[in-house]
Amino acid sequence: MNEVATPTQHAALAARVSEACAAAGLVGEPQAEALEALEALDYPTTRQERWKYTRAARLLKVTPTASAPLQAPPVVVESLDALRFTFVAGQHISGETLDEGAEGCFVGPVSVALERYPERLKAWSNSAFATQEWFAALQASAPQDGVCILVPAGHKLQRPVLAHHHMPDGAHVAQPRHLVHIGDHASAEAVLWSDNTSHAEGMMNAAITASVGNGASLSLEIIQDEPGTVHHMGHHHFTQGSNSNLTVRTATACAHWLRNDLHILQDGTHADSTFHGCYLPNGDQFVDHHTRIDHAHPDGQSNELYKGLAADKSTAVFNGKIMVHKDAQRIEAYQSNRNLLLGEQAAMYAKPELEIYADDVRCSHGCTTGQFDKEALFYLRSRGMTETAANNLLVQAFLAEVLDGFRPEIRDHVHSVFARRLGWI
Amino acid sequence: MSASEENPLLDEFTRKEYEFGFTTDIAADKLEPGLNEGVIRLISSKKNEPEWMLQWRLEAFRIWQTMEEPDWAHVNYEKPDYQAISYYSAPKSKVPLGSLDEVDPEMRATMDKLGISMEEQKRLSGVAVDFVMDSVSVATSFKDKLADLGIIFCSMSEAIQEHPELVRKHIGSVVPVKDNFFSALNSAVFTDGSFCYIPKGSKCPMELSTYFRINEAGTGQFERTLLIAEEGSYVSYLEGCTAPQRDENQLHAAVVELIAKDDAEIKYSTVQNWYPGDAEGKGGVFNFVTKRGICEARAKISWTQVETGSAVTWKYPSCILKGDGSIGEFYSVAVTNNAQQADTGTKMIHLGANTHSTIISKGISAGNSQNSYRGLVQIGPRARHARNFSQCDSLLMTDTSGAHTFPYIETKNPTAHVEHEATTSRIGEDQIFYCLQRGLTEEQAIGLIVNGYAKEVLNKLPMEFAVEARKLLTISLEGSVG
Repeated sequence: MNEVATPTQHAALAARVSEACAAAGLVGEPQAEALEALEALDYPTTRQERWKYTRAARLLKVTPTASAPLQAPPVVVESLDALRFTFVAGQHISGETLDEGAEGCFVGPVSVALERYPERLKAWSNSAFATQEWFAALQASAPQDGVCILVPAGHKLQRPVLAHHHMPDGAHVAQPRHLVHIGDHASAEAVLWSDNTSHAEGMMNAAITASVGNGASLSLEIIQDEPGTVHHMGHHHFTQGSNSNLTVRTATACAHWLRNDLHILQDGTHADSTFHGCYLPNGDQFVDHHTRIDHAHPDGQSNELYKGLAADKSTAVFNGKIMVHKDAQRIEAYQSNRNLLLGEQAAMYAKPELEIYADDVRCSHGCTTGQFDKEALFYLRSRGMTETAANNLLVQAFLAEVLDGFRPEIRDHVHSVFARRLGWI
Repeated sequence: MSASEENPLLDEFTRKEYEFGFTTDIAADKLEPGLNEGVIRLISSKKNEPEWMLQWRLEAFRIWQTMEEPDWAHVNYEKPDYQAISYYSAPKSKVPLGSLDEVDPEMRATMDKLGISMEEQKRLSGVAVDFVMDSVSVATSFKDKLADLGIIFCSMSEAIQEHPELVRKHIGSVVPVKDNFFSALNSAVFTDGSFCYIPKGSKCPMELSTYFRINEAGTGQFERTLLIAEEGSYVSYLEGCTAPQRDENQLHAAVVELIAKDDAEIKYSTVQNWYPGDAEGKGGVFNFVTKRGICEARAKISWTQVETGSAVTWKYPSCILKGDGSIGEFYSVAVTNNAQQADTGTKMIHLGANTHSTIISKGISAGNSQNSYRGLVQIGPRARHARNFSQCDSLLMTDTSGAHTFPYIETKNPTAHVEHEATTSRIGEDQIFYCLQRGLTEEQAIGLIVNGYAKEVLNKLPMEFAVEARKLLTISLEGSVG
């Protein structure tokens, strides 16, 4: 299979995407470096180590057609009390901006933040991925609207933020950009929710750029519930200061073809990062989670847990890298990746990596691939459970370690999506 | 505080010169540096090879010319100039030897320095030694004894002359010429190596052993080893390496092919202690080796390696578990010090049902070295109930060294069980403290801890090698804690 894209093909894709995004409305100026990078970088192919298992060539066919009707999608997790913002195909639809002035908290669309506080965004809003990855460069060269959370030093955001991004029916391209900045000793919680209608196609190329100040804390839940045939590229970049605390939980509840790049940089000592994820592709879906944590300073901690199941003919990819830089001593970094293969033709590719240049560290990774414990299944069946109910319970138990970290209403939603997709309800 | 201030022993160790750094002065028959078709024809004609062998080499050379040197490994080195290497070097005294006494006295002395006095080995340990000096076998013992059992154990060039049908059938069947850049190069220019054939149902009564040695300055060694174990047979093969000190980088691109037919078992053990270069990383051997075995039904291949030498190592002994119920094992201790770089690991390709594999890899990094484990576990769609367990541990001795793990786990069958775990840590201060409390010196404590750490692998080595390996580890690491 010829995986190498000719320059004209991906240049054409870039032109199509930029045009469609520009027609719908861009937010802010394209990043200059991103435009250069888009020219200079190679289109990802399976010959590149980072794309070894991910066939990005299929995205070359993405052709946005209709401009999206800007209709508000159904509300998600109604029971959750939050500052809600809704975006459709990269455009802000609803949500009331919280603006406490130049010195206070700001939560609202990036488009509004750029109008009111361009200075506050300047220092850190550029995505580090944009110069390294072709798709991130594409995103940064035609950015669209997303949520912007600015919490100044010492403040605590009282209510969680829920940013809901929706892709309607039809072939669309959306390139939302979410910006989060938590000042020193400040804290915030947010949920980034992306979903589609079941007739949505095209591409969702989203970026999250977040910085967490010294002693600050950020808890982020990323929900990807995307029926339809949208191709999703996620570029999630986090920078942490000293003594900061970051928790990122990613639940890929449903995705046709999805690639997440999660990168955490511990740019200060005593930083603590927790990142968990779960995924459950079925049919011929493809889910790829790439994570990387850079321990650039001493005394950091990280805890990574990704669990998933691959059913039917689906493919799941996990690539986790722990990088301990020179002189970053006394690092404790743990990574765990557990997978269950349920389909005869399902495939699981795992690449847990350690790259360590300091000696006084405790790092470990564990990775397993297996299947349901037959004895456990038998035990449940012998107690009168149907096979469906038993399977359902086992999946629930398997994913509980990850899902229990989410808010209860989100956990229940994700689990119900899993159960419905596998026909276990 | 730097490592040397903390521990003066580290300094002492860093200054330690390569023990086996000496050169034997024997008149050598050597080709001018350079590689072209003429050189290959010359090597082939010097070895009096049949036409098919020459054609095979030429084809390999043509393939090699179209290939690029790989750069995906986690190592950094100046690529060798393949036109500056002499591709053939044979000791001149080439009268066929009737007995060991006829061996060149100077060469005998070399063997003694290496600690492989042939008579002693013959008498005491019952090991048959096929001694390869540069590129031509100079002495082979126990051959007759093995011949009685139908076992063929000889040099590759001899095998090409005497058993061409076996060689022709199997050479390149496990490691195809175009497998990679170095295997193609080796196929074109290999000068010698070992050949071993164990007939159906035979158990080789002794450990087979070869010593490789790079002797002539500026000559690359391109060994080719082919080991065929017929149905139900068993063989244990040892390979040990040591090379003299050189400032110029020496290239070693060997190919080892193992074929284990139904119910056969091959145990392949390596102790590698080639010249690693000096403390700044100048000189040293480039060890770019392709080792692979194929297992038919219920066959077993077990690789055990202790890697302490070479400036740059690029080596992945692999098992293709083709037959149902076959077993692959990989046990490795890789020690890097000073400016050494190692990128080593294994590949376990599960194709048959009920195949099992075990990977135990222990990396130890000291000095400014970089030590990487790179392994692939692949479960094919038809490999039902395949099972793999991998454990990769790294021990860091200094804060200037690096330990890396790059496992690839590809599972395409839902009945497979794959487990991988890896840890990286420093040698435990509490462990050292505990030993010191009980009256051990720090050196003894480190020796004890490191040997204990590597025990799982060392225990897999045959007796003769276990002693040597333990000695090597102790020499390499005592006093190197940072």
